[in-house]
Amino acid sequence: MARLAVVTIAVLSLEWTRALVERTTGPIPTIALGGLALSLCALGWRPEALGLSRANLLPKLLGGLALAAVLLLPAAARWQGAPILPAPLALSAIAISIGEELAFRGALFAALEAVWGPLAAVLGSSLVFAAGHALSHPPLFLLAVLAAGLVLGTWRWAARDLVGPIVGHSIADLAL
Amino acid sequence: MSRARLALLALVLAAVAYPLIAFQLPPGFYEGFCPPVDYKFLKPPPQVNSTRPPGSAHADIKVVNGVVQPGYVATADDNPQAQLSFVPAAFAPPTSGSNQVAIDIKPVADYPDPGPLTLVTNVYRITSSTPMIKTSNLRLLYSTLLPAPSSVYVAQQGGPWQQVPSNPSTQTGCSDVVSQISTTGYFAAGYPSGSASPKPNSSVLGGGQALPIIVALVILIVILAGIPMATVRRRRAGGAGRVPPTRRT
Repeated sequence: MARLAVVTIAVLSLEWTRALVERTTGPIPTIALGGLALSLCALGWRPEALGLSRANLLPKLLGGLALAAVLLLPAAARWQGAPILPAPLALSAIAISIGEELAFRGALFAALEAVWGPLAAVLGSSLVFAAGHALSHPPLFLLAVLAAGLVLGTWRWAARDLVGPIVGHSIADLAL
Repeated sequence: MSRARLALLALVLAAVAYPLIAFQLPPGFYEGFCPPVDYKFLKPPPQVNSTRPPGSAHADIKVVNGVVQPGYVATADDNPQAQLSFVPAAFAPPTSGSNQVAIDIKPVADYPDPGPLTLVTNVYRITSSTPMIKTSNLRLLYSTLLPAPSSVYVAQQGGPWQQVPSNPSTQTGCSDVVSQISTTGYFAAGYPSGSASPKPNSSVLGGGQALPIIVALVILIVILAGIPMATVRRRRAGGAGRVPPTRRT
């Protein structure tokens, strides 16, 4: 329980701090450092507990592509063209995607599952994921963030895998 | 219900729920890379509730020893939506004996027809009392609620819109686009409808029709690779469950 509280406070503090610092320093260094800091939340956990195992890697990668397709579908259907991500921002996007997955679907999911079981892990990690984006997204978009968290969290539970969410989240962030 | 079926059902429900929810929101759902920009539109697009009008700018730049001094002019917004910065002698000195050059930046509702361009910012008209003779930097902020622009465009009264060279080294990477302008006129940021012109020194990850193509390819890869994998797995499972034949004597 103590570990769950520590992980929850840590991931929320890091996400909110990132959003606040980003407003003054610009996005690229802040996002990259934020991703690195969030990755540190996974320290001390066994890779298997985080959903990181090398077994069945190909299906997991395919799962990641499928998750990316789901996450990108609304934007693709209404595409008006031309958002361009400069290379440094693209690298930062990958860093924050990996960091968020390790923190939310990795450490926080594992801590929630250990205390209250898988349903609480999926719902709880998604709610905290949405709360973590409260300062970086307009309030209207938080519902979509919550739904995206549910998609990724459900995969994390269903496949006991974090590789798919990392791949899916990274591709979606790069393309958006 | 077995865990596998429950997991599949939950995945399908979540995968259907996300697009349904995302479609209810205005376009422009982004991943939070850029802090939300409270952009003030002169003519707000339908999905934007904007009540405050955008600001204008006026500056009188001193002329010292026949040289127009360096400086910048920024619109009077909380976060300037248009900002012109210039080096010494960027403007011709006045011939009338005046010791200052007047520069104005105003958002305008009447401007040359953009044709196939989609403009995502206000159109700003920049005027000066003497001609611009050296390149200056124009920074235009854009809304995070609309697709990001690829370039800044310029037009003269009644003339066509033309792309202005951009200056990626001076922009923050999101929410603003900086270009090097060598004339006054009408300026706005936007992109060619249905296509994209990449910025120099940038990786194009979603321009034009790229995103729909990426999504289609991803779906194709998942289907093409997933079906054989599922078939092989099912055969293996079937083979493992089969009782090996016993030899009759």
